[in-house]
Formats: sequence, C-alpha cells, structure tokens
Amino acid sequence: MSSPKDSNEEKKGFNSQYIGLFLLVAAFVVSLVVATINTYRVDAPNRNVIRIAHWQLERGYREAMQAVIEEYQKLHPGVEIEQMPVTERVYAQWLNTHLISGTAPDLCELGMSNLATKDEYTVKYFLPLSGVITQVNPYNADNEMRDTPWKETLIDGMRGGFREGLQEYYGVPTTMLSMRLFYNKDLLKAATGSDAAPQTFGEWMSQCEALRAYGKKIGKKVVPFASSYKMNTIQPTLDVAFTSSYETELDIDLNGEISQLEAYIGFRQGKVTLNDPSIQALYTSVKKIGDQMQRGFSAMDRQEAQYKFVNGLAGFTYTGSWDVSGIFSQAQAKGFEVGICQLPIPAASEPNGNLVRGRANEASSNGAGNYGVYKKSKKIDQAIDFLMFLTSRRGNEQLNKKAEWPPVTIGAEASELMKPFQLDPRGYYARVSLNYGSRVLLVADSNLINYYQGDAPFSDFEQAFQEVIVDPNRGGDWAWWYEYDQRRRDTRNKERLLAQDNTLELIHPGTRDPERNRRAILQQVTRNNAMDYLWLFRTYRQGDPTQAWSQFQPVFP
Amino acid sequence: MEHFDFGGTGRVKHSIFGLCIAVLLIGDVARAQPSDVELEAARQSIVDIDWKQTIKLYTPIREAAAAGSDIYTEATFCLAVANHHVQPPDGGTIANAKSLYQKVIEQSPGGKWAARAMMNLGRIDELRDYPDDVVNFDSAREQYLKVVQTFPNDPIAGEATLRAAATLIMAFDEPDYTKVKQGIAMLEQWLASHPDEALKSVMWQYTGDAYFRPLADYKNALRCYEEVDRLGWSDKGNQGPWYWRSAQIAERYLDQPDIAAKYYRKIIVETPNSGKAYESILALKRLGKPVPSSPMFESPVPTTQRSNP
Repeated sequence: MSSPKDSNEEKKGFNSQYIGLFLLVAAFVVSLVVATINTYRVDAPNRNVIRIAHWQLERGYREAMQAVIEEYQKLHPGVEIEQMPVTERVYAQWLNTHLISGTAPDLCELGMSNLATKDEYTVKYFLPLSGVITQVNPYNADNEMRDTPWKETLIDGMRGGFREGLQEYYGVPTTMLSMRLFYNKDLLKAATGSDAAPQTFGEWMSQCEALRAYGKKIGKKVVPFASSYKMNTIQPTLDVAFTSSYETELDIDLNGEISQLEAYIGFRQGKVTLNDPSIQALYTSVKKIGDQMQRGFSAMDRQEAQYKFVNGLAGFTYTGSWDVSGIFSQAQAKGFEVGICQLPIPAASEPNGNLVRGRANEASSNGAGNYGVYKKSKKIDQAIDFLMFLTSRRGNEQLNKKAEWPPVTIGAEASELMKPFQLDPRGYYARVSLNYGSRVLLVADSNLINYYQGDAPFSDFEQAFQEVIVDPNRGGDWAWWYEYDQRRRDTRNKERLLAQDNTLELIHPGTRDPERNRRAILQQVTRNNAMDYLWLFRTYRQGDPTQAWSQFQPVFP
Repeated sequence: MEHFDFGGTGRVKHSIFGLCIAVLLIGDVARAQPSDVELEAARQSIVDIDWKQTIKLYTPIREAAAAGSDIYTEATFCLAVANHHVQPPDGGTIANAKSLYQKVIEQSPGGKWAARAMMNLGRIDELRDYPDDVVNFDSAREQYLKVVQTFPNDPIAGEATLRAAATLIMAFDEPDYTKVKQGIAMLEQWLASHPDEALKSVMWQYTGDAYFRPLADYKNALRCYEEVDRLGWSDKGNQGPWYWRSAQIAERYLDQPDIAAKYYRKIIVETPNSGKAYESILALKRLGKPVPSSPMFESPVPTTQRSNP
C-alpha cells in the first residue's frame, strides 16, 4: 500500500506511461506542420513550383540537373523547379503512393513502378504527349532545329518514350545509354608495356593473359576482366559478329532480322546447328572471355566487380555510360588512369576471324531517362516547358555534359569523357539466338554459364540443349505456341485502344487523331490474329499445330 | 361513400394533386437529363480506359435518360463497349456487350452509333475475348459486309471492307489459297473504286503483305509496297523493315536494282535507326549506286581511347 507521501509524489511527478502518448502526439503535430508547410510551399498561390522526381543518384547527375534548373530559372524568374531525387530502392513505392494520393510530382522519371510502366496505369496517371511533341521546341530557336518538331530533335525520334500498346508518347528521353569496355591504363602498361586499348579480340585476350601473369609476378591476385553484367550484355556483340551472315538463309520474312522463331525454324531444318563453325566459334570466343574472369563470376554483382576494378585489382570491366563518372573519380582517387573502348571482335587474321562478318551496330538504340508529365499536375504547361528546355540542345548538352552521360538531343555535344560512348551506327544488325522461349533459355543459360565458367564441358550444354529444344512440352514448339498465343492476346489488347478511340470519336466527332488510328489499325490487321503462325507451323514444321500444341492451353479458331 | 367536392377545398386538393403530377413530370424530365458533371465523368472514364468506372457511371445515366434520346443511345453504346472490354472478360460480359450493341442497332438504325455497334459485333466474332471463346471469321465477315451494305458512303465502310478481307486472308488456306486470293481481290476492287479511301495506305500495305506471305507473289507484293510508298506509310518511322523487304525483293528476286537502290537510300535517309542503314550503304556500293549522305554517318567512329579524368 502506498503512503500518502508517495501518492503526492506521483501526482506531482511525471507519469512515464504518458511518454509514448506524448511522443505520438508530438510526432503527429510535427508531421502535420511539415506537411502543411510543404503543401503551402508547393501550392501557394503566389509561387510557381514544378517538382521533378527521379532515381538517378549516380555521381554528378543531381548537380547536372540542378545546373539546368538554375539556367531555366534565370529565364523564368517566377518559376521554381524542385528536384526530388529518390533512391531506386524505394522509388517505386514512393511514386505509387504519390500517384494514388494525387500528390505526385509534376514530372516523374518513368520506370521502376508498375504505375509508371504498365499501359493500363500509365494512361491513368500520365499525360499523352502526341499533341506537344509535334510542335517545335522554342528553346531550339537559336539553332538549325528551330523549325523541327520537338520529337525529331532527339536522336531516337523519341521512340524511347513511345508506348506501343497505347500508340502514344508518354515520356521524353533525356539521355542515351551505351556499354563499353573500361580498362586500367596503368595496370595494362605495367603488364604489357603499353596502355593502348585492344583493337582486336586477339589483342585483348593477350593483354588479359599478360595481366594475369603480371599479377602472379607481383604477388597480387589480379583479375584480367571483372564482369559487371555476366555474359548477357557481352554476348550479343559476338552473336552479331559470328551469326549475322545467316540472315540470307534464315530471315524468311525479309525484314532484316532473324527472329528467334526464324532461328528455330532454321535449326529444325538443319540450316543452323550447334556444330556449325560460326556457332562453335561464337561459344569458344565467349568461353575465352569467361576464362579471363574470376572463378564463379556469375555470382559477382555490379558493386563487387566495380570494387575490384576501382581498387586496381582488375584490368578490364564492362559497364555502361552511367558508371563513368563514379569509376573515373574513384580511379583518380586511387591514382590510376582509365581508358574506354568498344568490345573488340576477332580480326580477319586471328583465329575464327574468317568467320566474322563485322561488328554489331548501335543505330537502333532508344533514348533513356524518360520523364512523364503527371496528369493531375496543376502546372502542366510549365512542366512541359521545362521538359522542352531539358531536351533542347543547350539544356540537354548541359545536363549530360555535367552528368557525364551521352546526350540525346541532336547536335548536343558530349563531354570528352562521353565521346567513346557515342553510339556507333556502323555494323550489322541480325543475329541468331537459338534460345527460343523461356524454358529453353533457362536450361541453355544455366548450362552455358557452367561452360563459360569452366565448371562443365561444352558437351554438357550441347546435350542439355539438344534435349530441351525438341522437348514437346518445353522446347521450341512450346515457345512457338507461346508466341502465337501472345500475338493473339496482343491483337486483342490493341482492340481495347481502338474501341476507346472509336467511342471518343462518336462522342466528340473530329477529335480522333487519324494518323494514330490508321497506325493502330495497320499494326493490328497485319498481325493477322496470329493465324500466320499456324500457317508457318504447317509450312515449316510440316505438322498440324493443333496436335503439336494440344497439351497447352490455346484456343484455336 | 366518398364525395368529390369540385369547389372550395376540392379545388385546392385538385391543385395540389396537379402540382404533384407536375413535380413528378419535371423530376422525370430532370432525370432524363443527367448533369454535365455526371456525363463528363462518365466520358472521362473512357479517356482513362477505366471500363469498370464506365459501367458504374453510365448505368445510372442510362437508367435516367429517356429511351431513344441521344444520351440514352450514348450510354447504351458506352456500356456495351465497357462490357466488351472490361477485365477480366468472360462469357457473361461479352454476352452483355452483344445484347447492348444489338439494342443500339435497334434503337437508332442508320445512325453513327449503330454503324460502330455492327462493326463491334463483328469484332467480337473475330477476336478471342476470353480463354474459351470460339472465334468465327465467317460470321464476323457477315457483320462487316452488313456495315458496308448499310453504310456504303460512310468512312466506316472502308474499315469494314478491310476487316472483311482480313477474315479471308487469315484463312491461309493452302495449297490453293482461294480465300486469301478472294480477300486480296476484295481489297484491290475497293481500292480501285474508292480512290479517296482514308485507309488506302493501310490497305495497300496489308495487300502487299498477303501477296508476300503466303502467296510468295513478290512482283505483286512490290507493286503494293510501291503504292504505299507513293501514298505515305501509316506507321511512319517504323517502315524500315518494309523498306528492307522491298529492297530484298527487288534485288534478290526481281532483278530490279534501281528499285532496290531506292529503298536502300530510303533506309539511310528516312529510317537510319532501323539498324539496316550501314548494310544499305554496303548494298548501294555493291550495286554501284550513289550513297546519300547521312548525319548519322558523318560523325567519326567513337574513339576507342583516351579519356582522362
């Protein structure tokens, strides 16, 4: 039982059970005040604030964006542009919350989140841009593009922002991306006596061997080539080099590329086999690259590979323009120079060089760093105006030069550092990919990586591939059915867009964009409801697809 | 027994009764005209391709509207479209859509809504709307041809002809390809008799594709593509693969190097991002034809070296 004294002390003293409640109330009040201030700051009638959100936290990007913002604000003293960088780990959740609650920034980098990537949500939350991108960009008034529609002032013709499913532009690209081979010049010079970039595949492999030997000599474990992105980013270059000459034989629709279906048809007809010299040369060459990488390289992530490279423990690494700034600054801090070059392919005089047609071109690359305009933005015109500035020659040059990224606007000069990343239009395009369908790919990939890592012989891959590709339930025939089914679904999905277009035209006659409508009809009708896929099967597999595909869940006409 | 007093109190009662009727009638008229806000919200749901919302918003509008009024027809049609496309689709939603389209046709025969409703009935027959749906190209074609017969001078007739021809071409009926040829003939006849057809470029391209595959009639395929090229490509910017195909047909199958060179040049100048520009330059050199300049190839090859921090 407590004494009267105790009781008095309790009354006078602080009751600890209220601490939690107090903190909760305090947190609520502070949040309320901050939220109110922020809302007022953005929506105050006397302020014109445009918010732009992105996840580009790479070194230099935010500073570059800020520089463009300041330049824009000088031209528009009443406008404030607020940059909202958000880490890519939470960008999706963050953006989703704001889009749904109606508080999303006026300009959002498109990606990461389903709400910013999937057609059904994009149409709900972002503004279609067809109407404005055909207008001229006033910020190009000082150059020869003054009369050119905004869309045509970008290297990729704004294809990077086009949504085929919606037949509409929802994003404006602000940069281009490309991948290159980075090398430690000091280490290379120490190992080979020269810091010159490898010009051919043979030279590169010799340099790698020299780097390995140098590591042994100095008692350091030097990895000749630290992979950042395993083999799936490297192999396409060699695919084109060794297999584009199959185009004449395999490209049956004469559209200039060898689809995976066409490659599979060719494989079934014996026009391309794993034992073809070109195919053998391809796998052997990629294996040679694998031999220069650390053991078990498929488990190494981007950070680990970069760590090795920037710490002078690797001679080469392969990554994209987005990593340049970070790699160069870290290399400088460590006191070595970095060189950049294209991934070399075998020269004619080198082993397998006689099987090489040429290098792969990069002409069909799309722009990246797409920004969309939030549909519920109260300042849509101002937001679009800033986007125009950002992609004008001057604005885009400033953004990308400072960020050390390749510009997307025609004529915008790249920084010295970015010059090696300029897209190379010279080279071939078609390539053979025999991994037709996700099920074949799964088997082929896991076996190939074992071969490339030296954990299994080529014959293991060969056997696994030969088994899976003809497997009626997992192989090429399944993939063929799957593609057929997807094509039918795609045709049906296009109908939804056409229905919307036609209905709105009936409600508001004359508002339909005839070009967009014609394009959508053309794209739909030329797909033939995928009936051509059945015909292709009958013609080239000499069989009845309804029987071959009876195990699956198709619906036949 | 109740007496009706037509004077004094009776007149008051009569007036009140009349007033009630008037209020009810006015109310009914008012209900027949949904507010602009309601209508705008329902229409916005179509802009947003939010079919569930379309059903939710147009249902009360239709219930309130006077049968046969413009708003009623619009609501019926939009409900049909929403049922046609709402996800997930099933036999029930498609049956609803068909029934509502039919009502539009019955309510306003000869009107713009009816024309599109007839077309959409054809689309339901032609496309697989849900996993167990069975498509029927013949009945789809019947619907399309009905549109052509009922609305011969409306722009929708061209679209219906294209769709009707497609149901024949899609048969891919080897070895004689009788239906494919009928579909091609249907399009060629329409194009010959309708020089101002809005979809003529689309029709020529699709006809060219049908000649190319499955008929392997390269001469006629190229003739069609040449027409498209003269008229302008509908999917502007993405015609690169057709340019390449035309060049290949002309060079490899028809021995027409001048036409091949024309398309190689177009690839370099008009679709440099198609991935085939470099090979087109090589092809022109191989054919001994002049190579046009292209800003893309004027820049130097990316340096393979030396960037200092």
